[in-house]
Amino acid sequence: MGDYRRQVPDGVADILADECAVKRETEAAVRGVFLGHGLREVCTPTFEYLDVFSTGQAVLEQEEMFKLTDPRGRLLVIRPDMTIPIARMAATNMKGEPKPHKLFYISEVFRVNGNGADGLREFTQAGVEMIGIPGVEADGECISIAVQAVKTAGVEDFRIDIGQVEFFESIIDEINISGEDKESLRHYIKHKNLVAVEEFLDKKKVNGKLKELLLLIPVLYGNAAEVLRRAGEFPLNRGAEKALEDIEKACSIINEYGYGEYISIDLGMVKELPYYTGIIFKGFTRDLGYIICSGGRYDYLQKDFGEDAPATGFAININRVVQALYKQNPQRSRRPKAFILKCSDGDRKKAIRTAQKLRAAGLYVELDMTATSMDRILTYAREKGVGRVITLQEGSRLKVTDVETGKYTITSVPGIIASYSQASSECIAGWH
Amino acid sequence: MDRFLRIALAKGRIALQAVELFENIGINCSPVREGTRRLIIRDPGSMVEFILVKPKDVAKYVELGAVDMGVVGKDMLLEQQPDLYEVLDLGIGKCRMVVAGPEKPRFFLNRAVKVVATKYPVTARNYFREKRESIQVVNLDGSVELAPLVGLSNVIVDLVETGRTLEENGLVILDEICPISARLVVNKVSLKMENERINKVLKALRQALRKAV
Repeated sequence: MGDYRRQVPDGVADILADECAVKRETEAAVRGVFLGHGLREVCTPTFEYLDVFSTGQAVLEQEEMFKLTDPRGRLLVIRPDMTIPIARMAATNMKGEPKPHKLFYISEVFRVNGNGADGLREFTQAGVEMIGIPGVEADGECISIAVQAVKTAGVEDFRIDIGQVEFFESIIDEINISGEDKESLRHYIKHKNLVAVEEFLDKKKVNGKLKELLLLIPVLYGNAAEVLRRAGEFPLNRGAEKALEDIEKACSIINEYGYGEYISIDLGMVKELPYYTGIIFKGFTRDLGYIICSGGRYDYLQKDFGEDAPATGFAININRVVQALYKQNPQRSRRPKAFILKCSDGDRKKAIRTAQKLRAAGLYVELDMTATSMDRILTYAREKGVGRVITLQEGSRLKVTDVETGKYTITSVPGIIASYSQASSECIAGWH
Repeated sequence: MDRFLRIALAKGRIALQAVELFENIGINCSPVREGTRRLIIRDPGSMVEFILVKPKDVAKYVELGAVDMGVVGKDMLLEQQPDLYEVLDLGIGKCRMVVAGPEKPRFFLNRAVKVVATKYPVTARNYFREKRESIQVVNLDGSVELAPLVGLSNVIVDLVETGRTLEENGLVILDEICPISARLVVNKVSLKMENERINKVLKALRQALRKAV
């Protein structure tokens, strides 16, 4: 047997202090945006019955889920997703409440085989679910909230691609092919594999305008107005037309929010999760090769839990946002509110009182009672990202030494509070 | 400052053939042709940068966004099922993925499960799942043709170009799974974020390929 005492399993990781601070700040920024939109935070259990995740429209293969058994032998899973537990929660425990339910969560989720490109088996999702709202207005609002949350977290060069699953689904309904064949075509379109799409259509004897359109779908992406115009040149059935109207309306709502520059369209985005029924979207940044948020409308998931309610939502992958922040600004995070207060046996009580006053004003004060040399304290402070060291002087005077420059000023408790308590919150300041 | 557009090439024959295509559309990659030992080759003129990696690794580089595009065999895409855009068939590195075995099947194991030797376990499992056949896969790294000859497997799933190796070892093609060729693949984020530059390359390549036909 191997000895794994000093290792962690693949796909999970410790988060050290600097990164943890960035991660928590990111979560706080996102939470702030969600709360600001009148959404309410909920939590669901870390594990639930397997049945919750394996009925009807449930999306995850059972081999994707970590399983446990309870003392009576029933199968439990560690939550692989939050949308489904919240659907269950809304349909059961919130049944009596007036709709819509506008909810959000920030929770860890777990996947046996890792989540997509980065392969994480534990990651944090910050997501929104709006249950009981049918219209495309809610989709537009969701996308706008997602834009604002990712922006507020500090990600630059960010964009959201919008699609509508019914565009492609309505069009392939016109071809008489089996479910399996539809799945193949969906797969080719998803990978923008024009060669395979063309071969497939030739094999199925699909010709004329329909063939032309299906071959165009993978490249119908980019600027919203332009894509809608090109798609509109084709004779479309009602379902596909309605899909385009949805997208147009969602875009105009997002424009009203002032986020038009962050969005584009991809009509080749097909149903990747079987429960999606309308608008879907994916967000990404230039600096990360894979998506950082995704979402869409899922009008029939509630039915799995005995309730009829349309819904829409999205999730932001917080770990990936943090990754993007590090890539865009690799510079170590600063801690503008952090201080070390040096004291010795003789003046400890005075030091404690001083620290308490500074802490009451929201500053982070670490007491150093080791009585080591100033040089060692400065080295320690530099390593830990603390910018200033305070030493006690005569009376109520304090000496504040800047760790980087070595320069100092003589000031007082109110002086420090006046200068530093307004500093923007930890870490995020470092990103701008 | 503009960044270089990064393209991953599978080291070996495919790289040399791909380089020809890229040179045809005005991207200078002479160091690759000349067999450089460098792993990153830049052409400041076209702002394109090539990296040379193992064929197995191309899709990974593209999927994770370490490069914007890649040239990779369809065999690797079938096996690895990466999440990326497969935008162009480059028509080079053509061969076939086949099931092959001895002309007269020899049963040497007292069980009903067929043993399949292959470098492509996922492809083999998918193929036999569609046939509703249960199999046992022996995952080998090379000289797969040997397996049925020494009683390691009943059949093999492998790439065949001319069929000579099979023939010389007394094996025949039992079924063709699919034709294989090199594909141009693109990272999903890059296609959107670097749309203009990538499309320019795509368009030029498409034109060059059409002319070649």
